[in-house]
Amino acid sequence: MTDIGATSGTPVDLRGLRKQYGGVEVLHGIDIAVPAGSFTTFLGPSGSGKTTTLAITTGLIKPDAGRVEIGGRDCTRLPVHRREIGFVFQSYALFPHMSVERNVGFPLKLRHVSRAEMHRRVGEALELVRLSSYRKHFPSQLSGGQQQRVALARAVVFHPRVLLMDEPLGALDAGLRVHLQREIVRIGRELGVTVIYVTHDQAEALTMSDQVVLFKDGNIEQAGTPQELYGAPRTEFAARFMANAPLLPGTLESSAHGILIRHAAGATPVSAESVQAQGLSSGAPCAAVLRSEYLDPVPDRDGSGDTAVSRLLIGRGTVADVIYAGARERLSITLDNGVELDYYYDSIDGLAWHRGDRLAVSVRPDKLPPVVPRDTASQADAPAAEATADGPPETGERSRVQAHSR
Amino acid sequence: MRTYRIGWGGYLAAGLVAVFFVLPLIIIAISAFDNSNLLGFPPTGYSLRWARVLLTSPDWTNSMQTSLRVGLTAAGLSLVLGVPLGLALGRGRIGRSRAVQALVLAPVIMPVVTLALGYFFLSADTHLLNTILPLIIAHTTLGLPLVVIAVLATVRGIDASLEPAARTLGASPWRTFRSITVPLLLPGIVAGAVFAFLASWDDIVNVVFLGTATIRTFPLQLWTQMQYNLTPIVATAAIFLSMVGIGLVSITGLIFWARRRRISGQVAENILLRRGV
Repeated sequence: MTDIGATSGTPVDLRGLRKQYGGVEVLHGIDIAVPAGSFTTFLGPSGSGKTTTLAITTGLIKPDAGRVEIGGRDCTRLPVHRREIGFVFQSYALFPHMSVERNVGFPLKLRHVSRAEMHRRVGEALELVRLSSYRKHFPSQLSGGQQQRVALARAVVFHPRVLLMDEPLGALDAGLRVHLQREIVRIGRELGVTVIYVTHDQAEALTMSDQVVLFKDGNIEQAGTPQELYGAPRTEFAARFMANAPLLPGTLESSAHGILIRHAAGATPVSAESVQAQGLSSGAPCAAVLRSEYLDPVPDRDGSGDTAVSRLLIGRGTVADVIYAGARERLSITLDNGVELDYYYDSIDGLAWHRGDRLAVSVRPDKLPPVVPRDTASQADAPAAEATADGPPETGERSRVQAHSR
Repeated sequence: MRTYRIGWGGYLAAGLVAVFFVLPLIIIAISAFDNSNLLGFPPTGYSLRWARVLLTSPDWTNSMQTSLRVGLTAAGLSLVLGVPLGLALGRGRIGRSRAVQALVLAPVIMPVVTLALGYFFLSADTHLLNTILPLIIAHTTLGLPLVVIAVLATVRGIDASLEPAARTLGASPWRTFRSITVPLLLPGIVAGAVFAFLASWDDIVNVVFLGTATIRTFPLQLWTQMQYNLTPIVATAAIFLSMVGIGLVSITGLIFWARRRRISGQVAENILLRRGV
């Protein structure tokens, strides 16, 4: 890249951001440090405060309390147009009365860049998003994906050191999204710019980011690398939001074989590392994160199983459904105690499961599932699950174990 | 492109429009070129005699000038007041937006006679009756709601993120207004201005009350002429009046078409429906 690649990112520090709307606080003190040149994603369901935080960073919304520091400089009171931040809107926000060239040139015109220089830099920006041949087109003549590329070119053409994006791919179809996700990451790296990206799509957050900040109800639920959020969630919400993980509630228990979680269908070993990292102790109410990759289902024709299996056993159950999805197949499993699990495997392996098959589901000995402490809100369910923990759950009646499917 | 299939109801409506709207126009258009001294149908001979009188006689040319002056001033005032008002209403910047909207649009549904009578007494009391001012105020009252409706409809069609987008790119609030808001609002502003001018241009009711011997607009001149002497110039003048309206709307339409920026059909529909045309 030429000159346009010469920009370098700058750190963004958000400190104690608070915001109220009509007496309701929607941000309860947000602290985020975004390292220079990193790709940070604000992830969360709608209404969690991620977009408000982004708008405060840009200056489109004023915080009630807290500071916005960009490159070590306090920008809290700086008006939007002096912040030198690139911003990409979900709705593209291209000016319909200007050609692609004039849209991209607009920020340069405001900065009194000479005509020749403007022509060159608009060309570079369009080349960056691979739309060089669309200079003279108007936004209405472009597809959604092309419009978003133009918006991206316009947001970086003036060499901002921070690029903010508010669900930029939200309105595009699935195939195009994946393609543009890669493009955005590539452009971020080529420019070396600090990117803050808002999305409610956890897959997008995992694949694109260096850092993920998970929002919930105006607070930060967890922040870390994608690996940390996915592999070591700290809360039930994080576990569920990051991978739709089924949670098996129970209590922690130490044994000769390591740390176990005692649950409705028995006791299952869990990751000691995860327990230690979260400072959980024996007897703590928690839930095991039973994502597909920790499971090892085997056919259960005689209703028994050898001892090695039973030590790792989660429970016995039935195949509720087999769903073919091209490369992978999904097994929906309903344990006899009512817990619903999903198990994914490569179609090419051809595991011949059928609806109604009996199976015994264990955890893999080499990779024990992590645990999360139980939310205070959902602990109301816990006693019921624990009360039935010792009894045989073979009654066929669904116990009140909290099950999470979709 | 949508295709329309016309049912019997459609033919009926088209027929009624043809009989009651187009037919009188055709008759007037034919009579406009009558060369006799008395208006009658069908004409016995044709010439441009009365058109020449219309464009040269001081009575008529002065009235055209007066109409033009009143119309342009009223349209201008309507714009000055109506554009900010429509913008503020469209953006929800004025509290109780529906109430304000109803108040602004009240003149559209009020009988014009009532307003005219009110202005008549008001200007008599304030000794303004022999000036052009009451007429300009009355016509601004007609034009303002039309501008507000046109601007309002346009504002609602503008993506609300365009102005914040301009701000993030480095434009000050004033620059954003100049470079983004006004150009996008232009179709609404132009449409509003044209309709406001035409509302003044073809108004007879206010003029009958507020016009004088010296302040005589074109429609008033036509009206006076009719009561005084029924020559074919009445038809010629009526056609001239319509041609200005049709011409103005056509030129505006052509400009929009050429710039590929249509005021949406919705805008035009709203304006026409609310005017009760």
